[in-house]
Amino acid sequence: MQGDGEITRILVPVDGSETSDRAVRMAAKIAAGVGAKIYLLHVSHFDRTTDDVRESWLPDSITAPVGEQEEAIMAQAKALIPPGVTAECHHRTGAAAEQILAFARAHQPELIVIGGRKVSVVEGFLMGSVSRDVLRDSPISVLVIK
Amino acid sequence: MKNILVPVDGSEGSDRAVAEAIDLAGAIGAKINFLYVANINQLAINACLSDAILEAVTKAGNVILDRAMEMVPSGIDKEAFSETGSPAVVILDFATSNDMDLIVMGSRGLGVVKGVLLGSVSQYIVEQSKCPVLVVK
Repeated sequence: MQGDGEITRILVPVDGSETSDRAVRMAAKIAAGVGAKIYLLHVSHFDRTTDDVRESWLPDSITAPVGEQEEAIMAQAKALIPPGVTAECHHRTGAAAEQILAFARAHQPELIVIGGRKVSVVEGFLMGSVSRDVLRDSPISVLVIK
Repeated sequence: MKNILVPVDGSEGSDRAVAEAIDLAGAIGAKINFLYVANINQLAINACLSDAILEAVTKAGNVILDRAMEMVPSGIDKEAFSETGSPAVVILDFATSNDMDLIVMGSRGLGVVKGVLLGSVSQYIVEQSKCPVLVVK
């Protein structure tokens, strides 16, 4: 953390997994204590706008559910934020660790709270590898939730 | 969230972790537990340690712990602990047996090769810990 150590913005990557929920709860607790704002960030590999709408090679059965899934994950995370704590929802498309770090560079949070348990692929992509890459390359402090 | 464990080694990264832990403890009302681990295994490679060396190591640890304790403002609960052994293993054992809710530590401690972004102790603890770990950059 930089210098004065004051936390005003906390970034929480979410993927709908249980560990991700625990990360949101922990971030909310800290945010409530220090009066910080929370950025909920969901990263997916592609979304409705990934390919050309007119000449889409991705069928609706693939692109449409991504939007719904995305909304469901955000709603789930947002429901864990107690009243009185401000949370903003953001979505990015691409490789998770890369997008999380790019978001951090752009929005300058003082802390990243991320799920770090090595869960199976079906449970979510915030596996060990994403938290590990974020932790390694992040210029700011990272709280890894188990 | 009641107990925060802050392993200290006197390095710059460890100092930042202490400052960060103090902020967090104040914000969420937790107790800070400082732990100094004298890396005796490394010092004692096939050698018998003289009392003088042991005493020096203990004294160095106490200086580091005292400094950390002094940084904590009144109103925040704090305690200092000293152990010997391999730091990563001792820190994890301590966290488990003393029911720590959170470990706050620097990304690099002493004796880390220049250019390494995450020290081996921090890396090991992040991977193996059962409780959340805050790695302070």
